[in-house]
Parts: sequence; structure tokens; C-alpha cells
Amino acid sequence: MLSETGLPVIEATSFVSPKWIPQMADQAEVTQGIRKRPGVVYPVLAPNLKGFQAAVKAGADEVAIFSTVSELFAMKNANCSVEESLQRAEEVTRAAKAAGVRVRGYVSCVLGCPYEGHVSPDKVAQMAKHIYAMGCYEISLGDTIGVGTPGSMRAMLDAVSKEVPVDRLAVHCHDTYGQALANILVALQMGVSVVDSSVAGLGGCPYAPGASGNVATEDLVYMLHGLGIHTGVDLQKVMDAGAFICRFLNRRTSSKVAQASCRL
Amino acid sequence: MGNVPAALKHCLSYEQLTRDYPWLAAWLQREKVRGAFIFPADSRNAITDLPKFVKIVEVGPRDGLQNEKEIVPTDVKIQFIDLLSKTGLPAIEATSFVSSKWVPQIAAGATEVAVFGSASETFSRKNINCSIEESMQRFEEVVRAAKELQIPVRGYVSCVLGCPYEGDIEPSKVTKVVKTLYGMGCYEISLGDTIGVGTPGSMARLLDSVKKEVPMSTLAVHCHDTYGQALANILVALQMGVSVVDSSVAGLGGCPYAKGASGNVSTEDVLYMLHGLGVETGVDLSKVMEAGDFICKALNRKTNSKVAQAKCRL
Repeated sequence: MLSETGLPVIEATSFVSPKWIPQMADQAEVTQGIRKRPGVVYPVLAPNLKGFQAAVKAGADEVAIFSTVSELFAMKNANCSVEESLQRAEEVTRAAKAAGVRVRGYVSCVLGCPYEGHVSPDKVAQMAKHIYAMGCYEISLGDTIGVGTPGSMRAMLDAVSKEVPVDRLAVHCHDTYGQALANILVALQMGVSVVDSSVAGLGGCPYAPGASGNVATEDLVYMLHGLGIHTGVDLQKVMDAGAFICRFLNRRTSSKVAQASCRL
Repeated sequence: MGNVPAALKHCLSYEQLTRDYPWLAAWLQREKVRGAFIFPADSRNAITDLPKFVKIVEVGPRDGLQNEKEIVPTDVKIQFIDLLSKTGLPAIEATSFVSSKWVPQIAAGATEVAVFGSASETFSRKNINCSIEESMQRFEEVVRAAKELQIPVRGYVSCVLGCPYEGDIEPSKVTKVVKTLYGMGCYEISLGDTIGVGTPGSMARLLDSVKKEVPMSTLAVHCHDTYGQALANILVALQMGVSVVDSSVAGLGGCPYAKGASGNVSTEDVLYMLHGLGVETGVDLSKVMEAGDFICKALNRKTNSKVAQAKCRL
């Protein structure tokens, strides 16, 4: 359904060990089963070389690697140090280059870490620079726990854009504190033109029980279209996909646009 | 790879777009594309060049509670307002609608009066049973009477970014009503996105129009979060010089025109954003959260504030 909406990039699955993330156990099946729409990219997460190899075997044409500037977060999230996680990322990017597969890089906790608290914009900039140099075509900057505000977003992007061209940057804002759209707006004002979002706002924040996580694609698209920005996305079709998955998950959508039945 | 990502990255700059697609400028003129984003200024600093102090007008006790289904006992209301009084909030709305024949009676206790106008003719007729013109005449009487008693009057304009009946509202219509209210003597005019359909684009266009007729310092924004746009809309308003924001603790008060949808923006979420931006408000966020917690328990409902919902601590 998402492939019919006009969305240019749909992150399909993750080649992590099913031991850690049971929901992604059918990674190969999903990658092989989806009807890829021409012109749409379907990246998959590849946390290490093993995952990358499995991804390529399953037919993935683009992969994503994760990094973080926080040691504690790396340990709790990926069971290794920042240094080790970068080594793994390097292995993946090297193998990807050889295989002609594009790599997208993620930096998490760019505006705050659940364990370490404040995160220095310069540290984020150095990390972004590092993985960009590895060969990532795009760097997605993630406000993992949604604590950022337009002020901290601006300071972080100011630092990062000195090291990585702004047209290579994306923002991945969580809406845990309701700040996502305002943060995205400032990012747009600073020249960022790639935004990560999740239909129906799927995906809670694992560090904040009961709190919301990903910003809802519907709400983002509503704002962008209201701003006169072209996205190529059909909002109604995204809402249909959102309704579908929420019915299945037996949960309420996190998207306010989807919740509002008032029509103009 | 496809060229879609490149086109996406292209699209942000209006200048770039018109350079690449020369026919676009003429098309836009013809189609009157709304919401072409207006950046507040050329300088990058304008992005976070904001008022040093923003006055929060807390509308929870009135606007919030009146739209809640559950009736709150008077002593609970009083306790709620007392809690809010300890937060540092400079303005807590407990004012009432006033018709001119009631003005002498309110002399006995009111410190402020509010008048509600609309930018939409249909909304005005459906909501207060008269045309915009007639409502302005009635308000004039109220303002005159209030002035004599030295009671300040705050003006409200509803449907400034869209109307549930008329759809899009031209900024010029809003400006006309705002100018009239200002001319009458309202000390402040709150611009209400009543059904929350506005986006930063339409907010910027509206303020661009209104600021030509009244000083920015007299304006307040009253954004509803029905479509999740409130904080982004408030941010743009601040970037354009507005320094008064209406909000409702816990986001009390649903949108009567959108079943199940949210209404007022939450004071907690606004404060979180403003404080993160280094803007002073004089308000203690944790005390506001206590008041929000109290009233939600009394109303037996979940808070609409995301800040309140998040238990994650930095």
C-alpha cells in the first residue's frame, strides 16, 4: 500500500538478529515478497557484515547503518562500544561499495541521550563527517528520544552542516515531547530537504513508556503541502495505509491528521 | 536510483524551482497557490531570532473546560485555577462572554472582558446568530462601556486560517476584523485557528497581512492542534514577532467540529518548546504539569500534552 502513495523511499525491514528484534525475523521474506515499485527505493538496516550479506542475498539494493556519539547508548542498544560499532559500519560500507549497494547513515541521539543527557553538536558533526567519509550518500540525524527543540535543532545543524553538505542531510525527529514538526520546520528553514517519518506515527519511544515516537507521515505531509512544498505523496493513500496497519495492530493512530474527521 | 530523491531535494527553494521550471511562476500566479512559504527574513538568525519574553495566556479554565463533556464541580474549578496561579502564568483566562446589557453587572468583579468576532460570515451567523458587521456594532457598545469602567477588553477572531463551513479564509477578511477590533480599543487581539487546519505557510501569509494594519505587539495566536500543526504554527508566529500565545493546560478542550480530534495546544508542550529556544515565560513547567495532572484526574481523562505523557527523563 505504501508503494502506491508516491513515497520515494520506504524502509522495508532490518537484517538484525531476530533474537533482539523478533518483529524483523521475517526480514528475508519481506524483502523478497514486496512488489517493488519502479523509482521507489527500499533500504534495509544492516547492523553488521553478516546482516549486510543476508540483505544482499535477499535482494536488497540499499542498506542503512547506525552510529551514535553516546558510549552508553551504543552499549545498551547495540551491545558494543562506539568504536566497535564504527568498525562494523566500516565493514558494511566497504562491502556495499564493492557490491554497488548504496548506504544511508544514521546518527542517533543527536539532540540528547537517555543515559548521557546533553549531546554536544560538535560531537554529532564529527560523527556525521566520519560516516559520510565512509561512503554514506545521506546522513539521517535522529532525535532518538524526541527531547530536541527548534533551538537545539538549529545549533546541531549549524555544526553538522559545516562538515557535511546540507543537501546530504536528513532529519529523523521523534515526537515524544510534541516538538517534531517545529523541529522539522527549522531544519527545512536551514536547507534540509529530506525528512524521515512513520505512517500513523508507528513506533513508540522504547525509552519513554507510554510516550510517542516517530513523527507521523500524515502530519508531516499535511504541513509540507500547506507550505506549498512538493512531495509527490498522496496524503489520502498514506492515510489508507495507516488505517490498514492500525486496524491490524489493533491500536489507535498517532497521527493527528488521521484522528481529525473534520474536513475543509 | 531514480531521480525522485533529487527532485525532492530541489523542491524547497522557490527560486530554484522557478529557474528550473520557468512555466511554474506563471502557473502559480494563475492557480493562486496558497502557502508558498515565506521565510521570516533573509538572515539565518531570523530562524531563532525570537522575542525574549513570551506571554502565555492560559485558556484552560474557560475555553478548555467549556469544551469538556464532563462537568467539573465548582470547588474543583477553583482548586484548578489556584494551582495555575502558582505556576507563574501571567494570564489565566476565567473571563466570560459578554453582551452589552450585562456590562454593568460585571463591574462587580471582572478584571477583563473578552469579545469574540469571526473572520467567517457563516461561522458568525451559526455561532453568535448575527453577521460580522452586526457583531462589531455590539462589541463597540461593550468596549465603550468597559472603557468607562476602566476594564480592558481582549478581542478574539475565530476561523483565521480556515472555517468549517466556508473553507479557506482570505487573510484580508481577517485583517479587516482585526483592524476594527483594534480601532475600537481592544488592547490585544487573539487570532484563533479554530479548527486547527492552519500550517506555517498559511500562518505566515495571515500575519503578513495583519501586521500591515496593527502592531505585532497587540497580536496573540490561539492555535488548535487538531492536525498536529500548532507548535509549528506558533513557531512561525514567533519568528514573525508575535509574543503572546494562548494555550490550555493538558490541551483541555476538544475541537467541536472534529469528532475525536484534539483542540487547544497544550501549555506544557508550548512551554517546553519556548524554554528550549531560550525564550523567557516566567512559568514553571513542572507546576503546570501538576495542575494538568490534577484536572485530568478530576475529568477522568488522559492528558493531551505530549510532554506530560513522556516519562522519559534527561
